[in-house]
Amino acid sequence: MAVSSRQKEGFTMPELEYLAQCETVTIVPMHRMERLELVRGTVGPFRPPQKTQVPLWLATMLKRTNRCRIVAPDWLKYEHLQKLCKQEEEPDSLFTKLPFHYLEIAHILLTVAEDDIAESQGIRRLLQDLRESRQSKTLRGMEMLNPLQLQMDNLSAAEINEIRPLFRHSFNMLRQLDSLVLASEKSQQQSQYADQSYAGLEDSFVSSYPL
Amino acid sequence: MAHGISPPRYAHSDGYTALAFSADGTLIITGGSDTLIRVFRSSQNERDKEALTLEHHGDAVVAVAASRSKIVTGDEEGVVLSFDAHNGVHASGTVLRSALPARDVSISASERLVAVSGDDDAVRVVSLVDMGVQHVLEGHRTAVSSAALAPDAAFVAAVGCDSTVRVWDVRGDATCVQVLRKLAYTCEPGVALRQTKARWSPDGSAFAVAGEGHAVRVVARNSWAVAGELGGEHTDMVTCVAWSGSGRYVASVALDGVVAVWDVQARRAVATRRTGAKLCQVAWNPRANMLAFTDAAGALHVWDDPVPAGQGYAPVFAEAEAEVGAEAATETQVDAATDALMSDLFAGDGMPDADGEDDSGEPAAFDSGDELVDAGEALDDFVVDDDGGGYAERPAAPPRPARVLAARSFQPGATPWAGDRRYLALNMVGSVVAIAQDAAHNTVEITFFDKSAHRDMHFADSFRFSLAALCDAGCLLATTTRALANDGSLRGAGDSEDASVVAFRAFAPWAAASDWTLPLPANEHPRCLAVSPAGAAVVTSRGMLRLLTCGGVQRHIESLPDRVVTCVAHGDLLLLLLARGEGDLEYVLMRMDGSGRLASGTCPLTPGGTAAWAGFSEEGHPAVCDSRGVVRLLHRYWAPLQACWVPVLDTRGRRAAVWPVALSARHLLAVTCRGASRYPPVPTPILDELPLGVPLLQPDAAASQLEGRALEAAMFHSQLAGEARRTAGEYPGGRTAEARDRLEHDKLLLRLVQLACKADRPQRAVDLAGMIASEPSFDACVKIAVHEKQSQLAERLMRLKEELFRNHDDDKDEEDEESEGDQASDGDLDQASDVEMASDDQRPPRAVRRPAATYGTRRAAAEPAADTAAAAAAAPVAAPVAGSAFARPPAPPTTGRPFNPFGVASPSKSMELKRSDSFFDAADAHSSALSREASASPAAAAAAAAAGHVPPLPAKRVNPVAGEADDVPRKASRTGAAGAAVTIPTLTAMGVLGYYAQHPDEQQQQQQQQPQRRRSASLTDREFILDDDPSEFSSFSSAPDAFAAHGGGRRRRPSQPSSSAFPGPLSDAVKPDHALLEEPHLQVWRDRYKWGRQYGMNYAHNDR
Repeated sequence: MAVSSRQKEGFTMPELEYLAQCETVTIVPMHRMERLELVRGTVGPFRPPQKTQVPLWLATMLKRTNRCRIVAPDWLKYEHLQKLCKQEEEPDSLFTKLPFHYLEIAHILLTVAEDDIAESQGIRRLLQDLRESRQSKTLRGMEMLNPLQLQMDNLSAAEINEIRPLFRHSFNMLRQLDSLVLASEKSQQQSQYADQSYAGLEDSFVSSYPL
Repeated sequence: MAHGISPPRYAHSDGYTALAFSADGTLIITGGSDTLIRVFRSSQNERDKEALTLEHHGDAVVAVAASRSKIVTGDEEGVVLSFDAHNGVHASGTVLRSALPARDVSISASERLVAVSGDDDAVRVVSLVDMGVQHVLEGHRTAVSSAALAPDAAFVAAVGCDSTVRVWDVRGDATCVQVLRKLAYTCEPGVALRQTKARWSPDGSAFAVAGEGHAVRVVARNSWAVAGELGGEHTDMVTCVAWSGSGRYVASVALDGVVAVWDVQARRAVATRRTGAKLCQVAWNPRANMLAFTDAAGALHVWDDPVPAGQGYAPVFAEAEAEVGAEAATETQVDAATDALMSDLFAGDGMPDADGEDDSGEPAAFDSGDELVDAGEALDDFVVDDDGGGYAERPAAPPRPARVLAARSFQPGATPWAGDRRYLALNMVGSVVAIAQDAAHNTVEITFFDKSAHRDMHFADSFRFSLAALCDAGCLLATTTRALANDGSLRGAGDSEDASVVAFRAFAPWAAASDWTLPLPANEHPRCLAVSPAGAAVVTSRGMLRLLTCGGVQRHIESLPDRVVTCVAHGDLLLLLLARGEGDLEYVLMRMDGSGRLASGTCPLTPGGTAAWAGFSEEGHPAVCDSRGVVRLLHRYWAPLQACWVPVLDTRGRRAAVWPVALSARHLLAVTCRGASRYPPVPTPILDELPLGVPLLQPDAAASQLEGRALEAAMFHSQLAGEARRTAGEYPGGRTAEARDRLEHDKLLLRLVQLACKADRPQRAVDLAGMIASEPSFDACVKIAVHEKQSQLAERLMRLKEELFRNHDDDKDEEDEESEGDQASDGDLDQASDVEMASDDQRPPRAVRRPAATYGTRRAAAEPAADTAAAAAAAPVAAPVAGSAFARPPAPPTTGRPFNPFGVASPSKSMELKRSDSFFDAADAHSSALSREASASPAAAAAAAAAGHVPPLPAKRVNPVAGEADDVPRKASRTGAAGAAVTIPTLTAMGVLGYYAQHPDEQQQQQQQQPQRRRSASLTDREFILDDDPSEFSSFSSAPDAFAAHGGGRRRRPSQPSSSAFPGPLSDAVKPDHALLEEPHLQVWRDRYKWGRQYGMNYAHNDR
């Protein structure tokens, strides 16, 4: 596999940000430009003050040279984040829906285009809250780890990355143990109830792992 | 109904209590010494409900005024606040803060101006639009106990504590028009209870104030003389007066606890009541016979029916108006009525009418529908004369017809002052913002959206410009008088005595020294401006349209009616909007150099709306947006007499107010206003893009949405093409872009066709197909029909295609292939041996190559063909040759596969070839063209489109047959029609069938060599099937209707219903053809030939 052993344990934050830079954002160009033929597609044309969709890396590049304003995505609005925070903090709530790379995008935008984002300080604070509540939820979810599956919808890249080392090892371990248990049970059953059929095995399987 | 005074309701703690009715009479607003404002419902059943309490003041509230939707209150701290009374009452801002307590506030009916008096000796007139102080009326020597603003905001009557009443004209520069000494009481400054208030009658024709002798004095407007004295009921100081809604009665309250109602005309009291408290203020429900007053104990009293029934209190303004009034009366009626009233009121006072409305006419953002409040609009309640008497001093001139408002002009994108800033212009290029600095100058700041084009600039502006227009080439600025300015709250405009100035600021770097400034004559002031790189236009108050170049050359002057509302320029076009009497607009679209008009006529507006914005789309479509939020484009302006306004966007459903900035082909760029503001903030926020949407029926249906998009695509495409034609320029982006746009339109139509097929609506599909512009797209359309198993539809589409594209092809071919095609056919003829001269003669003249044109042409072509053919050979021989009369010269070599309609259309299962390969090849070629187009290669698409136009080659259609007979198929196929003519008679129908059945290889070879021939044959075969008896077909095919459809196609004629299954009677025009085909065996040959060929060919295809 092309992934290095280090990356099996997870990506670094800069790496994740690098990956997130392919997401598109909306900008308002400040310079008139024709279409740009990029490897991954065509962007533009840029006609101020009309909005266009560009990859995040291009947006940051243009922003750094003061050639555009970045339109904060809808999920990065103060009111929206507030709502999400509230939802997230409700007991027994699922993960709220956010872009896969939300932390990375938010970080990049807040670094590069803070002036384009209204209430950026408040947004920072809310993102921090959001992240913490989701983190605790993730850890709680990890407690429910079983050898079959772990379902946590709407988990973002960075959050997956956080639990990756722990999850990987423990999941593998659990599976190994599980196969041992299964094997031993099977042999026991075969010896004890040699005449019993496959159904009994099913039962024991189900009872040992209530799903 | 309770008659008499209701028990006191203790609204506030002890102390002076202020009071007002809202203009609709539903709310009673009180303010008291406990710093609270309470809002009561006035109706009897709701009166006892809990009042709404507002805790915004920090000190005792001593003044309350209300109009339709605004409440203004003042307290002893000197703070004057305003509230919005829409859906509850919300604070909307601080009107004024003064060092000394406020004593009285008064609001104009239009809700734009507020007059505030206080313990200092000045009255301040504040604009509610921007909360800017507009006038400071200084003249009193003492505190001013009351300041009453006339409902039309023209005059302020201010009562000084020294008993002097001063009347100010606040329409232009504030001037004191009258000083009335010893009119009012001498009051105690600083003690609210020991002061008196003046109040205007609702129609503004008089005001009343109480004075010495405890009498109420009525002062008539314009003469400013005391017209009447109402006294004798009070024994102590009269603290407040109030007018009834009709202006016939006045109520007064006094410290002795007496409340009196006076008949102004009769000058006598009609009712009095004595209460035990010191009364502070009184207010009359503007719409009902209901009086409310407050006492110094903080209690509110309501007196229902103060005017006894016998006194003839006419209920006109109550029930009648309340029911149909504000809700039902359209605003246009209101406008007209108001105008009539105003002209009525001002008749004979020597005032120019146009100055009657001071605070009117700014462009309004559109949202909820109560925008553009005309001055005195709220006066509509009083238009109906209740008793025919009104007030004695009221001029008795008959109402004039509604006059056109002259002062309603605006500059697109300009806003009133908000704080110290104001947009002079805001459009696609950028914004021009004026920043108030001091009395001597402003700063003008020009910012561009496209920073690469120009550098932002700002400069000190000693002229204090109030109009601006911006374009890529420069910025045109002008000063104007206050009266003509966009809004009454305009600050820093030049005085009317000063000459106005027009200045141009060029942006081009090399033209820095080409700025110019031109003064206008003293009595001529700019109304609105427009500028484009092609020049500048200034519309002035003297009905002049002055056109200049960007360099300042005056190149054209034109007189216009002095009712221009706005003007805007783009490229070489200038759009002028002129007001008309009935509230609608006229438009004129002219050239920027004054060299001519393109279009003019009525510019429709949504009922009740006014023009709020005008501009051009990026591509040059003139557009107008009205105050109701409907955007309309002036379509087909490039064609004489064809211009029409097409609604493209309706923002009425939106919650927030929208301020249009610019229009692109797909979007309206606009600022969505936040909160209560209707104007964009400075600096400009990111513009929202509202997608255009033509208001079609069934807007939620998928098909309708596609239809709308197709409609828009067609519209913008035609605009670009029309504009290119008009300016003799090129389609923007060149021919590739044009092809791309057309293809885009076709794609939408194809999707619609598919939806129609799925829904089994063949006629709809045919209609849609008829709009398709290019032939490959049409082929794809047929493919869709086949795919959806609509074989009849596919058949019909094929016929339609013939009609649509043969002309089209010819036009194109004539251009492209004139030489090429002729050469090719000449070459063919050279190879032919002997008889081809006949064929050569029959090579059709150009006119004949337009088969769909008329029957006449066809006949002209057919007759000589028949003659020459008959001369050349025996009649049966000539038959197929005669067909070649319709022939066209061979097409140039093409890359596309031939397109065989029969393979598609035959519904017979014996044919097994519904989906002919050749057809699908052609369709695939098109779809690959579509995909190529998608990958931004429009040139390829255009090439593919061109390749699809394969003209049929009837001259050679018999070659396969001839080849079989002569056993030299390849040679014969090259020799052309002449050879065929010789050999055809030897054939039988079965022979033809046999040929194809037995020689698939040869057939295939031919197909490779001559890809178009078979196609041409099948096309032109139809030329032969003229008016056959349909029963003939039945022996050949199980699908007679498919044949019949071909017959119908041959005899196409516009008036003939194309849906007829079988051919109708023979038309004269085609008889010559028919005569040749009368030969019985030839008929059999013809039909079998066709079907044999068809069958054989497809057979061969399958075999492969």
